[in-house]
Amino acid sequence: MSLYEFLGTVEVGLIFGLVALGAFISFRILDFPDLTVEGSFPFGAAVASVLIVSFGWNPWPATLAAVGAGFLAGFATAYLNVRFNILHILSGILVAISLYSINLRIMGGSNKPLLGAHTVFTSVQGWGVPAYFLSPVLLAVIVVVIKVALDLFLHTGVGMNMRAAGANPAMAAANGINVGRMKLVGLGMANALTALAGALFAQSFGSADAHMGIGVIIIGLASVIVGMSILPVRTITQATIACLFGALLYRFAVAFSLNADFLGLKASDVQLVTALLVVVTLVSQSSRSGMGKLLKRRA
Amino acid sequence: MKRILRTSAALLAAMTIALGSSGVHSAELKKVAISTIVEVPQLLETRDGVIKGLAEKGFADGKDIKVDYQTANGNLPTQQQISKKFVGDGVDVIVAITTPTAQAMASVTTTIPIVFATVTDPVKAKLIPQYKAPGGNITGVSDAAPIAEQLKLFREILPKLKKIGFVFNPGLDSSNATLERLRDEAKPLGISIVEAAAPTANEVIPATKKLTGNVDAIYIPNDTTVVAALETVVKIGQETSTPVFTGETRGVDRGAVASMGLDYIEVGRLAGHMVAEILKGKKPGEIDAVVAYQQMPNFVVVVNKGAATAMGTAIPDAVLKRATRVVN
Repeated sequence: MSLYEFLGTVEVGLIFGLVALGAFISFRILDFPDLTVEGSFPFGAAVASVLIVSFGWNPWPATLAAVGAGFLAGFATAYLNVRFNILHILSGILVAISLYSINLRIMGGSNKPLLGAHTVFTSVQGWGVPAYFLSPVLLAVIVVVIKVALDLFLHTGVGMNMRAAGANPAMAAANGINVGRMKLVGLGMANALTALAGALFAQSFGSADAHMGIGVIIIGLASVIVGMSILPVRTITQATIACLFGALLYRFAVAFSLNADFLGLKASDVQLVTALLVVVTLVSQSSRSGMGKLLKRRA
Repeated sequence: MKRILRTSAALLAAMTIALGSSGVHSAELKKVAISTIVEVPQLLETRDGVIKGLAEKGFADGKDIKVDYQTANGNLPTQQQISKKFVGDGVDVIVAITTPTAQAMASVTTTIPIVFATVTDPVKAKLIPQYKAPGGNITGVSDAAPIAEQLKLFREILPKLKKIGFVFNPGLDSSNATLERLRDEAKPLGISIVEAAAPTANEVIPATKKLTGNVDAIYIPNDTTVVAALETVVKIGQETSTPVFTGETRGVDRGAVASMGLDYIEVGRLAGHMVAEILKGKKPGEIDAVVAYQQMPNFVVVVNKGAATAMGTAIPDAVLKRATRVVN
């Protein structure tokens, strides 16, 4: 792996760290299996790229608008669930599939190129530092700021209420916490992060594409689960670190598969190798002697 | 703490293996990197055509050049990582098959030559500013369908053709582009187009059924979603005696009445020839980007006699005579 590829892998990993933080809020904090992200990731990409390319917006407010759009998407899912009692998974699916059509409308087609456009990455270029080095640095700053802000939020009164609402809704409600409102805010936040990831990814990838959302939920979840099974997660701060670590690890698993041709693997085996690496990680960490037991049984 | 140490050790080991692997390639051979977004027949044919075209111009894989092929398995983040890998590996030419693949490659390098293939509208995709002497580091081959010629063929088979039903996935840019061009080309012929959108394979049946009785024929573009359910469309066409035409010739073997034009091996070959020119020292920006069918003097015409009968029509002798291939 070259330095260039290494930094590229970190770049994609950091972007998906935001998706992992979103998945952490919905799946872990709120205990809400949220499938909206498959729609909100390309939604963020679509909003940002259209504002930049068609409306000539500065990339920073365009990216911020994508964050707002993502919040609305998550809010819509939570609203369907809280207000109309539609099953949580179904609410997410409904919003995600409607976003597919909405994204096509917004982009006026399935692909909106950002090649040659002014993006958040080009706006920090210069100072004699190569772009492939600055992009991951910029992303690292954004991701760390968001991570710290999220940690702080989850320690505020509202944040505590949100954690309680997810951990034990009945008890939370009995203590006067509006569980529904917590879902609305929490899912909004989760999808705002996902849409931000989508907006940043489109600017780094060179286009927004209607099919960008495919598999995003799996990547997000795998990152959270892998990260949390490897790192200690006794506190919120540790948990969010684990999410980011998991997202990076997942990307390195993909990079490893891309470079694994010397093992006699075909290009189409990438997904399988990635999945296997995740499984191996989980199995070897799930119990202290998990691997040891497996070996002993053989003997 | 132990866990962290152990994990870090495992990670380090994985990274060392990954780092070490890049040294396996021999340094002397020029490196041609090819990537696709998914492995579907037409994209694999394009890839094989590229390798064939390169070999014709004296660049055999493994002997004169080293071909590195990677597919993103439908995953855009992986595509992005592949583009970074190619640049990091310092490849000599990148062949990008499909629009998002080409965009991912174009976003990471302005110096390494990129040859795109199977991109329907490279100008709209912002890959090149124009076909003629595109400048920059990108050129390539568009796979836009020869729609005017196709319409003439359909008219020959169905002289009373007035209304064509168009089943497509509105989420695919290539299909939208085909629809636009189909409308433009059909107007002077007095043919109108009736659209039926099918965003997923499951919606192909209702979309097709909505058309039957209202149109004289159905046209299926090179649309991966609808082509996946082609047999269903053929069945409906047979039940209602509505002839079904396809934008790609392979569909005729699966039961469509006729098609003409694109052979994806040819699309790839043209791209392969461009790569060869670049390897010989030409700048990509000086090589004109081309639309594949305009470079192919003889269109492939494929007709299916059995399918025509089943859909209540017959193929005229004149068409049979000039058909490249007749399926019974």
